[in-house]
Amino acid sequence: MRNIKNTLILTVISAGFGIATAQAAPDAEVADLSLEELMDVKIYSAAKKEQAMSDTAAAAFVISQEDIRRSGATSIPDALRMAPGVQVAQINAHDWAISIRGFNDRFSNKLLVLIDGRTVYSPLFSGTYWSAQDVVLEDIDRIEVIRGPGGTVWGANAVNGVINIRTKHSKNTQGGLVSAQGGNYQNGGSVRYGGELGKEGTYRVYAKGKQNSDYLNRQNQNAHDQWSAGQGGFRADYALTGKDELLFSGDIQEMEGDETIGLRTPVDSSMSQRNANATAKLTHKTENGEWYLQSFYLTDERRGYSLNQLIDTFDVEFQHNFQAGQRNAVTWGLDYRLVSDELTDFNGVSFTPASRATQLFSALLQDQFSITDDLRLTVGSKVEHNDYSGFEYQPNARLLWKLNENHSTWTSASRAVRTPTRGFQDIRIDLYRIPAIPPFLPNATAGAIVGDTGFKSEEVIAFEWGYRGQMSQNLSFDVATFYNTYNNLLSSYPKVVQSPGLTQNLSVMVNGLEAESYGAELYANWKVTDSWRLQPGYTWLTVDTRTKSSNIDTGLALKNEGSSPQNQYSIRSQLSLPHNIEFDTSVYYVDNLRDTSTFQNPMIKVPNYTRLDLRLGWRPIKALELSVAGQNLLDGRHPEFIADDIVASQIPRSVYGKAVVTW
Amino acid sequence: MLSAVIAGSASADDKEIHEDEVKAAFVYNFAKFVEWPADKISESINLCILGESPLGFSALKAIDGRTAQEKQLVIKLLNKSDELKDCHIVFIAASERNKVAQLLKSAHQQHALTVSDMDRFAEMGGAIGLVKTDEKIRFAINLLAAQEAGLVISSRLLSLTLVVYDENNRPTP
Repeated sequence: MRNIKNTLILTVISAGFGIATAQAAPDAEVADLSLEELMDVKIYSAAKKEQAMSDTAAAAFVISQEDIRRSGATSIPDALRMAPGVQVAQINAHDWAISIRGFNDRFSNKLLVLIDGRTVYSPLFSGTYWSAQDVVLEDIDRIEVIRGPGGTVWGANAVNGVINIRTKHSKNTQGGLVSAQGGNYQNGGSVRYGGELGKEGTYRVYAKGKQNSDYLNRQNQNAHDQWSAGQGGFRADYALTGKDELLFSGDIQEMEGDETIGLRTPVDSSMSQRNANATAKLTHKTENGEWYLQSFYLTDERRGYSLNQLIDTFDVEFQHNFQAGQRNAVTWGLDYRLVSDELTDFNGVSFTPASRATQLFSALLQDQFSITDDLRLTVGSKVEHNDYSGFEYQPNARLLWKLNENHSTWTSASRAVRTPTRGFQDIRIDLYRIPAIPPFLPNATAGAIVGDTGFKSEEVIAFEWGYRGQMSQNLSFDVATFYNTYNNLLSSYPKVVQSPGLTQNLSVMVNGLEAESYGAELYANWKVTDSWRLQPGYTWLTVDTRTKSSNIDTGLALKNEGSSPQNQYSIRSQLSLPHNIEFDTSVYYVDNLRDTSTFQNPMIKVPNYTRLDLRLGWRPIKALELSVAGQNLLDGRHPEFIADDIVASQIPRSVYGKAVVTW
Repeated sequence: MLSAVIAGSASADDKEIHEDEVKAAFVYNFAKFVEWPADKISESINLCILGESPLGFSALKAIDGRTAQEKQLVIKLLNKSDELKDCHIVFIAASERNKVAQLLKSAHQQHALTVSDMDRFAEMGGAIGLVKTDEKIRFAINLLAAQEAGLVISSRLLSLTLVVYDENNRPTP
């Protein structure tokens, strides 16, 4: 065989043989086919499913496991900094403000967050407690970030976007992993082990702990925001048959920490949280599609300065995708959710009633119609009924045009809603109470913010356009632009209520604002050489808000406009050096925030900043990865966001070392 | 879920078969047409999978335990530190691309047939590279690599291959 010479192409493109046709007979197993037959089989790929990201009529971005590892991110919020169009701002050691396409706040409520298909935002405020959202970072498969309304498929709250954190299949986490990290602010570690369950199944179990020390506040004093958390969990996957797969997973988590409550005289307090969840999912492949049935249960207990919450969520969901004829791909689904809570108030925050159970029913129907091979129209709507605002519909229409193999453009029009919750209908926040001082002040005076049972859904109508291009094997880019109009956004109006001996100055929540926003996100992925990748990105955003009538407070209008940066630039570099050394750099520029607080006067601004993160990784042997990373290296400390309800800290320069052992 | 979600965009043509299943079936077929050195032969043919999720679980299941050359094909999912000693075939995931030279060296020392679907695998010194063209899977063979591993590849396999590389074409590492 050594004698085979001079041959770049010796033989032979197999199709040239004109080998007997081999569209696999439907029932034959693929593995029974001969080589010749195999070579004639047309395939579709998992990659295609994931490329669906690049092949979809929406602005979507995937943060891969490799991206997370090489970014040096130590938390999910830090990893989200990589996604264009996402505003990530840390408030203190354990709280973040994260949004997509604006309206950023500690409890950004126009964003849907899921972990493995489980909604994790708080049903009380529709915001997300980011410190409670954690997994073993090495076990994340990818984070999908969808900018723009996703209400048609995902349901309420996906007004401005969806963040979907997906962990690896347990067959991909076989064996052991120990990871330990120590630094000037953060210490932690994870242990994970994965094995087999008979011939059909695989599982993993894990435990994770971490501890963060106090930052400094804006007066350079101890910010009193240290925290620690521990969690553990498992995931098991069974391939029941070639067509059915069963998934079970569960996690428990406990955390406690300190925070400073943002009252006129700030109060040092502490908070704690315990939560647990369990999920079961059955996925079945049919001849022309797939369906799944999923159910999850969450219980979440949170104790803090002004409120103790105990919230249970039960959800069951069915979804079916199938190909109907040559040109139609249909998705339909049903969802039921039951949320019940017990809220114990003190220090001024109260809910009436103190305990409530609410139900959500929803149905989805969507069709993707291939007008031609290159032109695809998707039309669908979600219809849901909730106990706060009744029926809601969230339709969309999307058009994708593949210009050629490497270029495509898309456009969409959609409507989505952010439904009211307890935090907007049933809440009362007492701000102050001044006793009567007869005869000068005959009545006691109280000030409070109160919800209103008439509070309706917030609504967006969004128009989007995007373009994706693969310029060469090494260079691709993505552009998305949008124009959104919002109606019935949250605000408040002043109301004075007189009763014998008491004057109440109330701010009553109302759907009092309209807004429009527009902007663009651009990013590129450039493989400069085999060992060097560069990813630049740019996000531009403008929000204009108006009050709908003259008696509406302007505080939230100003905050809507000012709480997100107008410009964000980023560039990430991943460089692989000889001897298994990696050197990775991320630079993020974030514009100033003009106003991040509702009630405080004068407006509170956050100056612009540039953040530099570096990581140096080395893998001396296969089973060991060592790294040192620095975050926020350019600046000793600076604030990233200032929230209404808790005192903000300055986010410091931090350095850590990390070791990961696998076997 | 996402694909379904945003637009149900991964529309599977009825006649198409999942890429992973086809690749796995190819690997199974390779096991039929390779001769290992006498001292390597054991009671089963062990297919070792290296790296992150190169082939789907159900695709692997479809070939696990099948018979090739009157021996059972046994699939082993390797961890990063596992030795290749018992492997007759090593499937290397694209995720292992930047250490492929090292992996190939140790696999060939162990007389294992190296297979991968990563780009230009045969060109880089792997024995058989799976190549995707026109929505079909073909394969390329690097004879020198097979020889280095002490393997004899049947002429039937060679006759179907897309490209054969010999030493003249072997890129220097």
